[in-house]
Amino acid sequence: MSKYEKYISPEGAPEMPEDKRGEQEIKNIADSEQQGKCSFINLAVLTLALIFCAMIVFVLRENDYTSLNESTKLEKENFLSGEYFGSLESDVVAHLSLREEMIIVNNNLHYLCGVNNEIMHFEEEEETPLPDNAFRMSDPGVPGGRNNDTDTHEVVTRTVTEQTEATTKKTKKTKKTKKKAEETSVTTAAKKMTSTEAESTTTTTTTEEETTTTPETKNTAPGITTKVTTAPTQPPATKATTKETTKATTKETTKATTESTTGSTTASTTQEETEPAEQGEQ
Amino acid sequence: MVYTDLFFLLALLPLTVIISFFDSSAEYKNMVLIVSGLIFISWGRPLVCLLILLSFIFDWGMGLLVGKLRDKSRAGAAFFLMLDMLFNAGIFIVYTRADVISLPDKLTLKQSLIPLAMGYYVLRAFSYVYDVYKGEEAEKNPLCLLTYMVSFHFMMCGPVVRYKDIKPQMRERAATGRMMSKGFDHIVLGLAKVVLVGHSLELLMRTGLDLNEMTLFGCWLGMAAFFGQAYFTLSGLCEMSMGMGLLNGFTYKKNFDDIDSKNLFTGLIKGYNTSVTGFFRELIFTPFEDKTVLGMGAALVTCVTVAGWYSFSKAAFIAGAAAGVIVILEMIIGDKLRRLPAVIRYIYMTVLAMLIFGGLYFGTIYGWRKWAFGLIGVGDKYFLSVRMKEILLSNLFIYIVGLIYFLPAARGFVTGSLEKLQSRSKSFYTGIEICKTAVKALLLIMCIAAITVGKMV
Repeated sequence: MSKYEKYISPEGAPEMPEDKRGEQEIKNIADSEQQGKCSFINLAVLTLALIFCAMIVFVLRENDYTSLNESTKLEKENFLSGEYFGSLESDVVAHLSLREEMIIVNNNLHYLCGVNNEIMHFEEEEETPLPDNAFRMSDPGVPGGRNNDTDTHEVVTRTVTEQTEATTKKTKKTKKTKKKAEETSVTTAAKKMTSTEAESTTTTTTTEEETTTTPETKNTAPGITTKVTTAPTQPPATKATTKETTKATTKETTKATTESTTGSTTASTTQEETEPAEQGEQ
Repeated sequence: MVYTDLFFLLALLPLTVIISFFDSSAEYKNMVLIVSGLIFISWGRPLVCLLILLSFIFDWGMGLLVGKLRDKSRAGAAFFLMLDMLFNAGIFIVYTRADVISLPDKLTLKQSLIPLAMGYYVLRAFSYVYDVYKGEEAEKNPLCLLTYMVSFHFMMCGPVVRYKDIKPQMRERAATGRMMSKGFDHIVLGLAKVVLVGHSLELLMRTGLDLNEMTLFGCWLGMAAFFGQAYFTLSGLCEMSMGMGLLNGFTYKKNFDDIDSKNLFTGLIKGYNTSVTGFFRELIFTPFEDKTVLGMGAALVTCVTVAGWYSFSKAAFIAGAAAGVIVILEMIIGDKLRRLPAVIRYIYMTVLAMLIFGGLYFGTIYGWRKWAFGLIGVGDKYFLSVRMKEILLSNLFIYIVGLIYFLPAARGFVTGSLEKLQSRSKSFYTGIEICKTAVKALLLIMCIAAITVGKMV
């Protein structure tokens, strides 16, 4: 065994010092690759954006370019004077098919960038007497009554109750939505309270002092009875677009529920789902 | 055509880049640039092509002649150099001051090129002959020189690229993917500077410097907006020019230096459009730099010439002379001024620049005087007009962004913070780069929409 044998075997081989320059080079290459990828993404995105803009301006047009030849013919005189190119340029802008969209995009993007933003002017609103309605009364409230405080921003508490089985049977259209069994409490602003339903939209504003029956929406659980702690100043804006299919059931429910619960109904029509809840509340 | 033209941005520029990739040879790329450059110049006025070609032939011939004579007869070479200078100065005066000199409408370049671009064209042509006179080899290949003369990225408001600097690239160049990506970045940022920032500042400038409704804040802010608009428009066009160069494989030097109060008012002049001021400085001032009195005279002449090049008008010459006087004063007491605190130096530079170059905006002594008094509240109607307030508030965000970009310290802080964030990890780096790309794409669409809607009105 020679004296150099120990160096030949892997176990005895001396450890080679790590070359830091090599590591640095590897890191540089990795960084460079990443930069290259980002550059490629950048180039691709900007090229696509440019092509997109060019498509909108030059390709998507109201008319084709042959119409220009009909109105302005290419002749030596208008070519040399530049009139032909001038009319070509104005023709392109005049016949953009996405004209309106372009203006909207321009305005919106400018707002985003902070160019020519609109300034909001705060002006004191004049107090105009509003007509009396279910939510607002001109006469002072009952001493000690809850409606005395007329802060418009006061919170309204709605108690969403379970829809009774009896009512759900009567309702054909909204059957599927009435499955929630728990009682939940939702807090919302006074003005938001008057949301309307898109399909079976006939709403009832049955009031009995502080208690209001709110119209139900598609997104909320059916049978919402609202316990109003403050009378809101604005009447609820409701849409009355009752469908023919719901008319029959609505009428039935209106009679049944209004008589038994409030006795004095202010609204003319009532949506069937709201009343059982009101019953439940009382 | 101009750089902010729809036909240029969406048709000529992309087509030129795409067509130039069909062949890798520089000769082919040069031919593409010549054709596209001639379309760019002659758009709307095809007759202009002939005039440009005529001027090119003259300059090329002068270059060859000066190159041959400079070793045999220095005086003869100097004579032809002067002849070339007069020829180019003549073109410049005729085309930029066509309203003074009666010229047939067909010959004016006002519709196809802005006067300032004509200034760049003639300066580039003369700089070539001047470089040959100073010892550079004359270009024998006319196509290489023609590329230099008519390429649209050398053409407008870009840095005055000297032919000696660009000559090797004329014969061999390649546009890599990274260069193209950078080029696109420059184009988009330059376009945003011109279309968004420049336009917003123009609104502020027009309202603030309205002589019929002078207000104290209007006088100050309006003039600041005037400088800002000039800076952003010129530097934006210059940046676009650099971007187009990169798309075609050319690399240029930076044309705008950051403001440094230590360099005082002289530094302010030097740093603005460095390639132009640098050329005039080399041409007029450098030969007399060592001599005190002659050096001062040369500084004055340099300032007047630069101002005249920007705007061939009486107001420009007066402003140039005033700037020259300040430069001379700084040559004498500059060291004392440099010892002042930085804040005072900045105030000194700002007030002087406003007072001197404010004259360029008004053009008349009456207007300038009224505005100058308005700066200290004399003759002002109010502090701030309603219109001014509305413009200021409605564009506040873009003004703040512009200010951050303009101030080197603020810009350095923002870019430094981003770089620091990017160095944390690879995902940070990629994320920020993608965000930057998204912003640039949005800016591009925004600018194109703004230009299109602007043309509709």
